[in-house]
Amino acid sequence: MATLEHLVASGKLRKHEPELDDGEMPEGIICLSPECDAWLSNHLIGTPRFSGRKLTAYDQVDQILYDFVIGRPMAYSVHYRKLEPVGSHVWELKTVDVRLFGWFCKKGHFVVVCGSLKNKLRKNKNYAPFIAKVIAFRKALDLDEPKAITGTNHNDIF
Amino acid sequence: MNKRRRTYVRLIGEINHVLNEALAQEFERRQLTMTKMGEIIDRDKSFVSKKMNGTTNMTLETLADLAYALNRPVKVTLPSREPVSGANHKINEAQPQTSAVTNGATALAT
Repeated sequence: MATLEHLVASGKLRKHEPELDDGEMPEGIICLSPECDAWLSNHLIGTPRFSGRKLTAYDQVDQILYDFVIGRPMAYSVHYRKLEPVGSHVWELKTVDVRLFGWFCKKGHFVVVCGSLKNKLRKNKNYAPFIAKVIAFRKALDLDEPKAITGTNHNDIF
Repeated sequence: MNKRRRTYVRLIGEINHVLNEALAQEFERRQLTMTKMGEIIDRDKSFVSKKMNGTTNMTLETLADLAYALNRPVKVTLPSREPVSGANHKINEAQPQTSAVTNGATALAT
């Protein structure tokens, strides 16, 4: 078994470390699965800005991950949400155009496993494959138990 | 993402954050909602919501309208990234500092 730090050191996860300005301190930790990392770098980054939007989908992800890391207040259902079935302890981080799927392994520690553009989810109306992917990745990950926070309240996860 | 682009993205994030923090405080103080904000500036709730959550583009005039609806003055600052230790503060010309945006860059002060 391994800590999050060991998994980052071994390359099984990548810690997202946005550039912080003077006076900003990291308060949260985001780790990305290799699949999610590749999806962001190879796919999402090339997605054109949707009509009327201020930011591209990639920009939106960059910003919400930054907000998480610097500890900006996040609102349930606006920025994050626990997905059904709640017993699977899978969450999504939300931007206007993107959904990121993962779980809280500790307070303020979120592992992102995969993501999708919101418009693709709307067409399929199906979160199940993404939830299954998070569960499978978490199960296979050699992370110390308990692997996931099971609480649902804001204070349980932040 | 290059630094120039990131500066823009952080500015948008900062504006959204500051607007929503101000609304949360005004809701606590006087039950101000997006619907009421819309009434103050002759817009519907959907318009206010899209601007507050960053869904759509926003002009400076709209930003001023939202500040007006919140009954808050707008304060804009561009703080230096480097500590000022005297009058001979030298700016690195290879990396201009004029677009620095930090937590205090765009604020709707109480």
